[in-house]
Amino acid sequence: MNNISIGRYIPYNSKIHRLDPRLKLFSMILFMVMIFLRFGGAQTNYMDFIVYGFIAVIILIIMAIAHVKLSLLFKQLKSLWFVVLILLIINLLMPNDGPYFLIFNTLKIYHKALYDTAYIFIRLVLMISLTMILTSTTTPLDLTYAIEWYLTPFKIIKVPTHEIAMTISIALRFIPTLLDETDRIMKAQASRGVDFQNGKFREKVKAIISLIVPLLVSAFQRSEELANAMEARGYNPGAKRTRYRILKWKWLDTIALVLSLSLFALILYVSIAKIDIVVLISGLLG
Amino acid sequence: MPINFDHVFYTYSKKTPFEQVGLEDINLSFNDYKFIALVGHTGSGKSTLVQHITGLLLPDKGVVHVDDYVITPKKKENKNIKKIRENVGLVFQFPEYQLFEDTVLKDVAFGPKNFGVSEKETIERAKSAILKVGLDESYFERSPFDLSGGEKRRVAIAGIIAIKPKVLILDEPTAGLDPQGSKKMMQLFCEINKNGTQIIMVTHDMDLVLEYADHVLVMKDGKVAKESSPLDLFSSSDYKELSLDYPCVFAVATELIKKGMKIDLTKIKNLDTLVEEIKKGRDSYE
Amino acid sequence: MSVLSVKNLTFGYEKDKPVLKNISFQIEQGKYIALIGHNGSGKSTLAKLIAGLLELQSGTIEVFGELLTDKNISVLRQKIGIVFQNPDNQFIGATVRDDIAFGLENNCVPHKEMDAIINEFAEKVNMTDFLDKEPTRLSGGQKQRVAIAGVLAMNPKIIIFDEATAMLDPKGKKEIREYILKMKKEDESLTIISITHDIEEAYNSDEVLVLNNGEIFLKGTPEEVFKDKNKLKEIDLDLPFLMKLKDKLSDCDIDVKDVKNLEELVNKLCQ
Repeated sequence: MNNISIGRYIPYNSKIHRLDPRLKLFSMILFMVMIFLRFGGAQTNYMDFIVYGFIAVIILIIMAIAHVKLSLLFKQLKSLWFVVLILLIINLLMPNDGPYFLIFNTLKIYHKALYDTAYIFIRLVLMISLTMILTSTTTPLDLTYAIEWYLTPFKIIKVPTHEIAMTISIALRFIPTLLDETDRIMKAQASRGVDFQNGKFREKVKAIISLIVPLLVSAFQRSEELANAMEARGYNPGAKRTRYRILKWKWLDTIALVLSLSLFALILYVSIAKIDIVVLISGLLG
Repeated sequence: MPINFDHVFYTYSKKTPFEQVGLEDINLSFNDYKFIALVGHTGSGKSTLVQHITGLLLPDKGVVHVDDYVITPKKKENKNIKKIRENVGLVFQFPEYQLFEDTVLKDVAFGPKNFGVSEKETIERAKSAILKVGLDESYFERSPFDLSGGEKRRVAIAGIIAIKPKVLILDEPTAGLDPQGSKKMMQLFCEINKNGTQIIMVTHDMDLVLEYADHVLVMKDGKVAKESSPLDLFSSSDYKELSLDYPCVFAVATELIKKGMKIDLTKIKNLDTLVEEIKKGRDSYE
Repeated sequence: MSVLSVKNLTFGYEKDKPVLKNISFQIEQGKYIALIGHNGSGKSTLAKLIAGLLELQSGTIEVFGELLTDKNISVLRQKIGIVFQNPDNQFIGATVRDDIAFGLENNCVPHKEMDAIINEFAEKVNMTDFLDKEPTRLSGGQKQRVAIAGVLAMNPKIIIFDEATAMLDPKGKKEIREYILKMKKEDESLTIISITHDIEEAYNSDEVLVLNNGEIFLKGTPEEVFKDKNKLKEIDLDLPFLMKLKDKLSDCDIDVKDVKNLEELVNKLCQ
């Protein structure tokens, strides 16, 4: 239960950690859009890889500033090889044309199939590294506040944004508690002879029921006690309340915003104008 | 049943910033004692230790022997863990949270059934276990979720007793009960103990240790700090350094001895024996 | 002055199954009240009613002379703090800091003042070094200390402890008890209602209220309540250690009636 490292906040006092979560969330969305753009023309699809390489370098720089270790990224990518394998098989089975080479003189391997697999794989890796940077440098609570801030306009149409944020933050607060509880109940049932790993289908279903029922019962009890505790301390949904955590926009955030926007503009231009770096450089060289 | 620990090490959340020592070089062997108490402050490794006896945690290093079975660090080598769990019953702290069936009888029968006991015998065992914990026939078909906290705990304990383990491990079985409830609970364990089941009890209550245990282990920072009979433990000069409580009757007896009364400390187990000794002590005055 | 006055209170979660039956009592300001009784005797229900967490069915509750109603419940609630049994289920904030802030936010304390208040009350319970820690990194005793700080920060006049130490280890229990005594000392007008199984704590309180089967079984100073030991035995309630010992000694014709504490008892026995 303690091995869950995906999406975990890693405390450190880096510049990236200190950035405003609203900015971080916004920038991540910009990066995601950049990754989903297509570059170059039909004949110059190597441009995709050149731009991705460029974005990857920037992501690596951000990771270095944020003190997010590469090894952590690799750990998460380990579970990805299976996805890549499936992707590859699907792509190989897809009807295709164009250049190909043969294996065992019968199996046609199209270049495009390999290209498409690599393409999706790179996108996945970039997306995973981006989310990892966000989650490991931003506490879940700060993220919640950022989401709440973005939802503020919806208050006009009576969306209870504050209550939504409160719900999310309490859910986040109780995730470790419930994980501990799961561990405890699993061990208690294992002491009664339950085998959570092996066994026939029917036994497995029973094993899961013996975990889920107590977990639900205790979660309900917890929520009732929690509701009492909140009410006793004067919480009244919908009522006016002040805030302890206030997001503060700093100079650093403005700089980071300008940087992300300029990068976004540049990449967008490269994409729309179908710029081919190779042509550009060879043109410059005369 | 012989239980041996051979250079056992265990660390929680290994290789993360939250790494924490669980057990450090534990060497133990207890065979002949009937009632073993395991004491120490929270986080000293008591629960970690008992979870190693039934293979709920596997050692990082070292070996645990339980009867003829061996528990080693490698998951694949531990095929016989289910057999160990049939012989060593573990009742967790607040065990009432592990109930999940719709009737008390079914819930108590769950354990023996998992260990492959025949249908007929399972029901018999369940019924006799429920009666043994002090509940009557009217409870058989009731839902465990409608019972009071103390009754639920009895049902949970019956669920382990029905497995008929040779060793019963109890992790703070009286925590959260009212004094009347705890007293009844201890009477129950005493009876089980007298009928030949070895008991290992994790507790903070030194009065219980003095009254019931014939051997006591003190844990501190993942190590065994002391191992002796309760009397030797409480009379030893370095007990104070462990900053644990003294049993009330023991404290009074030592005060009386200091003031010159002749009292046989080995005879003192509870209030009745203390009064007995005081009577004798006063008689010898006159 | 009476800070709390309960009159003819009857309450049940199900019809015809009253948990509390026609309860009436008064509590004076600045007293330390121990509320004892078996599990299921209605203690926690009574606490929830006083704190306004359950709706009244019949009978009245007055807080500082004001009748508790639906309308003034949120105002009167500010005068009553409650610390519950389970340390995990009353920790609302993501960190110690946020948890103490939670009540302040609800009471609309301006943002500028919060940090000072949080620091002040964290210091009172010795949690200053843990302000940015998450609840999973704290012991049960530490979490209860945060709960106390959170309640104290709202400046209540009455604090209810609903078996606040029941789930803690001896060290945690002792700590919490010391903090309660300390805050009582710092503010003598503070009224404390402690629901407890700890008979020694009840013995050292100002006033004891014994609840049995939803009724007030006994009421009075500890001397008065524990004097009636046969009556307590009738409902199988535990006695303080000293009393049990004295009791058993008297049964053996050893006269220790007048001793007030263990030290005196030892001296008397060794005369």
